[in-house]
Amino acid sequence: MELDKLRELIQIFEQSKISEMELEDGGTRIVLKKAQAVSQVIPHAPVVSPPVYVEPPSAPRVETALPKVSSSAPVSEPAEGDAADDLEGLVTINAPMVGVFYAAPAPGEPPFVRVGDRVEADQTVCIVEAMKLMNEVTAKFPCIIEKILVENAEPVEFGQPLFAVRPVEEE
Amino acid sequence: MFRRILIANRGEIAVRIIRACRQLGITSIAVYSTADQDSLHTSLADESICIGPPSASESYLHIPSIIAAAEICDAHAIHPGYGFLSENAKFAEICRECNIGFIGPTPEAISLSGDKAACRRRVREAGVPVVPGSEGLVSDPEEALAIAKEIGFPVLVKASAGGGGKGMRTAHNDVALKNALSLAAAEAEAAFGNPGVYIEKFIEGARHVEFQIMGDQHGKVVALGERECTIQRRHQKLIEETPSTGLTPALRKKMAAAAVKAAKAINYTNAGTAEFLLAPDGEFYFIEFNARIQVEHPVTEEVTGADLVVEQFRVAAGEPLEVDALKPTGAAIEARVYAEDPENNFAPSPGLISRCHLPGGPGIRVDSHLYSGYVVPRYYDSLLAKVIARGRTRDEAINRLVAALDEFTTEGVRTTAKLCARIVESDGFRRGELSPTFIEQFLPRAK
Repeated sequence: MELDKLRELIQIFEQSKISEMELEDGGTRIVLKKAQAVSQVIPHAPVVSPPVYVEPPSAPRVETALPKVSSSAPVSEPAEGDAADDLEGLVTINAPMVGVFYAAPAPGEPPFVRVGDRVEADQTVCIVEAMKLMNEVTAKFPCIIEKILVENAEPVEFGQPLFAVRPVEEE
Repeated sequence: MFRRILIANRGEIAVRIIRACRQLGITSIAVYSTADQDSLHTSLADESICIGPPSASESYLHIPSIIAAAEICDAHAIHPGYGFLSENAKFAEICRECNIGFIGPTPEAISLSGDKAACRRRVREAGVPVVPGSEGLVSDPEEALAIAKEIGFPVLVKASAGGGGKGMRTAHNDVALKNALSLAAAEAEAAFGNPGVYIEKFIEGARHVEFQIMGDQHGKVVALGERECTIQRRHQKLIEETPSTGLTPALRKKMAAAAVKAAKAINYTNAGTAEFLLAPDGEFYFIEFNARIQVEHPVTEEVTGADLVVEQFRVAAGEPLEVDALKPTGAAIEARVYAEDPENNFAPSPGLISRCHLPGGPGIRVDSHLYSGYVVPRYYDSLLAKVIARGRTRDEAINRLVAALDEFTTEGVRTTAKLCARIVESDGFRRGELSPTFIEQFLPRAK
């Protein structure tokens, strides 16, 4: 297969919602698999068609994905998606709700945390404001702030990574 | 007119509202839970924002998240769709306080239609017949017995805050009534946080007929014809049609006038529905008012040519009604396609739809969020699609609907499409002989 064609194929595959594809073309066999597809399956994982069904030809697809899901289920919050590329070994603290991100308790005051800071479990790292309510976001475990991923006063969605942190073993 | 509208809903109705926005050049903003990341409304909207985890109470029902999303996206108005926050007076009130337009009735009208006992009283005082029953709430068993003696058994005990058949009990005698009273109150308390119940006469064999209402902010209210919704299972509608085979032109006129009177009695604006029971003897009774755009609104749209969602936008923005004196022509029937297995007691059937084919052709409209590769989440209502057939005659609409439903394909997920086709083509349906027990009687025969 020509390189251009392969590149195009990968592009189409990346933009699609399929997690795995196999192609045989003139003796060449190509298998494409998406890494994060596994985590996308999680919300729907318990959906296994009962064996009494005769028809659904698609069911095995979901079923085969199951063992992968259970074996690789994340223990803490792993860095997901795009953020994972340059943040190897780090985990993210994500927005617990949709709202506006504030790095400091009030305008003009120093931020809760800076890059390089070590924070303890339950320490406040920022505020997400929703409907005039200031919701404090805390670290779930001791860690070092490696990167702040959003700007002050920036709108954030639910689940959006706010900080990339390196977990610290408790002494 | 609003230039940016946030849609606080999901599924087919979110897609329907996004399409209305597009048509008018309004920027549509979708909100979605993490379970709906790949849902059609998320990708179809001009902008989309994730508001929470799969659980509805933390996403589509979570008022602070919806309002925060509206503020972040600078939405001028919110369309709540149906279900979720659509009939939540507190939400409509908060929108008003935050200066965000609410595309629906006022918080006061929502409150009143949600308090069924109070609404019933108000509508009766306006001169609209209501089902014989208690004046207001009933909690004392002796009082309940006295009322039942007066109106005659069987009676229904209904939750004032009720809906979807919850907090509703039938009683045929004294002992059953005492039990029904406490059971319905307990169920209502659990489901709605409000134990208030009232009593109505149970009218056997009554048909369920509703009238589409549209009201503007200048005091004008119109009724846009009826919808027959008698074909239900577990108090949930499955097939709706207009015109109803149970109405004569004279009766239709009388009921439409009563529907307008009921809407005016509660100062109703925007789209809503007045529900009536139509007894076998031709008497009709108001039962409740639905303060939202309804699932089955396309049936009315197909025969009148009106776009009710667009009218909702216009009316909410303060513009006068434009749907006056629309004359319905022909017939329209809607079938609801749920992700449920009719052969397995309607068990939910979520999962991957590996291949999807939606029907088309003359007179066929499909409102749906389905596509090949879509995974039906298990967290929400199982409605997948509405197939609406229009015809010059009822028979033509039936033939088109049956053909369309037989064409409807969703590999990997069981649906009610074929069941609906069998019901609609049955002799009983074709003759228009509909009763509340139609499906119960039909199901054993279908097997």
